[in-house]
Amino acid sequence: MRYAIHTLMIFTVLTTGALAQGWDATSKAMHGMVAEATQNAAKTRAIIAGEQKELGGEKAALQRGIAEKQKRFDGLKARYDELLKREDALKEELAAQAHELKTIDGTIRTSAKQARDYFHESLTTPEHPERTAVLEEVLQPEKFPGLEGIRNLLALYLDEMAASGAVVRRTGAFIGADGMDKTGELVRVGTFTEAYRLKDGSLGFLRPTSDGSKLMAVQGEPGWSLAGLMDDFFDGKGAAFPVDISNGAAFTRLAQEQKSVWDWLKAGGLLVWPIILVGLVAMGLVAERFYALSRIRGNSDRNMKQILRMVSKGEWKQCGEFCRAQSQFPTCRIIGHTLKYMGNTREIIENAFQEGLLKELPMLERFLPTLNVLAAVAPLLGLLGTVTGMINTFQIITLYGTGDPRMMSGGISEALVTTQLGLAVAVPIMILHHVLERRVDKIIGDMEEKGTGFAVALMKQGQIRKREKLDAAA
Amino acid sequence: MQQHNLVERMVEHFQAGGEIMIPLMALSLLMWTLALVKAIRFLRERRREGTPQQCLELFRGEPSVCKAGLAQWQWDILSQYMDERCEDPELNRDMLEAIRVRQEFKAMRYIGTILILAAIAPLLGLLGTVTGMITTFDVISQFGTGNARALASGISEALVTTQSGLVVAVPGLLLGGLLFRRAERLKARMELFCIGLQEQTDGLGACRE
Repeated sequence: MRYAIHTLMIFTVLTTGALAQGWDATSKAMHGMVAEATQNAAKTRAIIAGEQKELGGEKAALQRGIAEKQKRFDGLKARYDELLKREDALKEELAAQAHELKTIDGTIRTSAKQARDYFHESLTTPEHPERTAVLEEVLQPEKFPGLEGIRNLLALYLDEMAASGAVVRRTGAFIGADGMDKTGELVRVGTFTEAYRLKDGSLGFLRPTSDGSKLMAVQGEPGWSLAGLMDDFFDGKGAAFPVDISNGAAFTRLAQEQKSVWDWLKAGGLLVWPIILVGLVAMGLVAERFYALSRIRGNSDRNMKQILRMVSKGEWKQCGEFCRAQSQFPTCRIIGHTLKYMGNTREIIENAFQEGLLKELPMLERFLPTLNVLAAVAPLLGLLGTVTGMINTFQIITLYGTGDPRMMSGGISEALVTTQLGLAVAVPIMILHHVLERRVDKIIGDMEEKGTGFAVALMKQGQIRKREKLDAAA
Repeated sequence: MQQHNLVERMVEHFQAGGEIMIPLMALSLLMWTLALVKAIRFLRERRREGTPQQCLELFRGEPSVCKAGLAQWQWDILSQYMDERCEDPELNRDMLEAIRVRQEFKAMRYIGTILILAAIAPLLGLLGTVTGMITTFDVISQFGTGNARALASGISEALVTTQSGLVVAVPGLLLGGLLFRRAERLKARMELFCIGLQEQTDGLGACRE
């Protein structure tokens, strides 16, 4: 502004100089100009002051704004810090809760897995096929089961609990012992036992298959007493039912109890074979004896009657021929032998008869002492097996200690099986030996009686000479 | 009710013994039947026994009365001897002996069987013991020794059969011994009877025919 005023003044001077005419006018003009300039300057100053004032106000306003902003900023910063702190706290809380959640998740999954394993072995699963779907949903790996899943799982467990206290009869399908699909009456007692009865009356126990979706018949028949109980229950007559509380172990034993004779013998070790040999030999001898003695017994009374009739008629030749023809009977053989000494004294005839009898005795009593020995040997061999088995057991104990009873059972079963077999062989041999002995005694008594009867008949016929007569003849 | 319980308990006991109990029971029944039959026969015969003179007197009378009035063995000996005897006393004695032996054999009948059955019963019991122990060890090999209940069935089988075997055997042996002594005494009486009979008949001299 000042610059503009000087410029104006100089310009004015120059202009006035150039004119060089009247300094008054010029001075007047100059004065006017100065006044104007002063006026302008004052105006300008006023403007400047006004502007300065305006600017100052403006500045103050701005400064006020700055202060206000600063204050707001401070407030916000405090809030930010506070929020940060809260965020940290929340994050911590979140981490803690996530851990808890993970634990819960894990627990649920574990229990779902346990449930799956349990239900695979449970007898109730074939009745509730929807279980598998529920379990699969809970067991999905990427999804948290949620309250719904937990509730379903709980419901399964509750169902199972209720089923374990119930006895259910129904008609259903199962896999038979021969692997074929069958349908029959089923009875489930709690979760222990399930049994079936087919229309043909065959009975058996059931186990779930390995995936738990179906029932499968257990190998092995229940014994007669069990079968009677089960039949009564199926007919609604009885209240008792056999139950396997060992969760299937007893049923596997059922099949094992019916294991083959061969397994049984193999458990007995080497000494089983001599015992069996003893048994077989004894059976052979017994069979031979029974056959031979049954032939002898035949009809000795009838033969004797015929012989006595012939003797009383004095038909000696026919009698001899008859005895030869019936020579399979020892009585006839003896009498045939005695007939040769006819006409001698009573002593000679009696001696002849005794001789015949003594000849027959070994044939009759053949093998009987052997049988007796075999009956005595069989339990002794069994006892030997017992001792051998016990020695094996104690050797195993010295090697492995008594920790595992299963290790010892080999030797013990050897000991017991041989004892059992020895006794089982000895008892029938003893009985049969006794029967045979009685039979032989009877036959011998019979023969002696027949012999005296024959001698008396000869005497009556006068074919025995009195000793006095013989002495007189001599 | 009491009786019912008793029967039930006996059946339970029987079942606890397993399969060996069946032959054991059969054996026991057979043994007791034989012993009772034998004892009754002995007692009845003893009451009807007479001296040789009485017998001969009876024999000369009505045969049916005689048969009813005499012991079975006396009737058998008498009828057979009187039928077959001859004038030779020595031959008669031999014949009488043969007849007597047959009667003695009859007197001993069943006693040997009773004794043999009584001797077999403990063997069967032992067999049951062994079978029960095998069951027990089978259980051990499956469940270990932890399952006492499963062990108990095998052990009870073992003990019940042993017990039953002894329970059958002891009275059997006593009865058998008793009957055996009785039979021995009967045999002695038979011998006396035969001697008396021969004295009486041969004293008469002639044959019946």
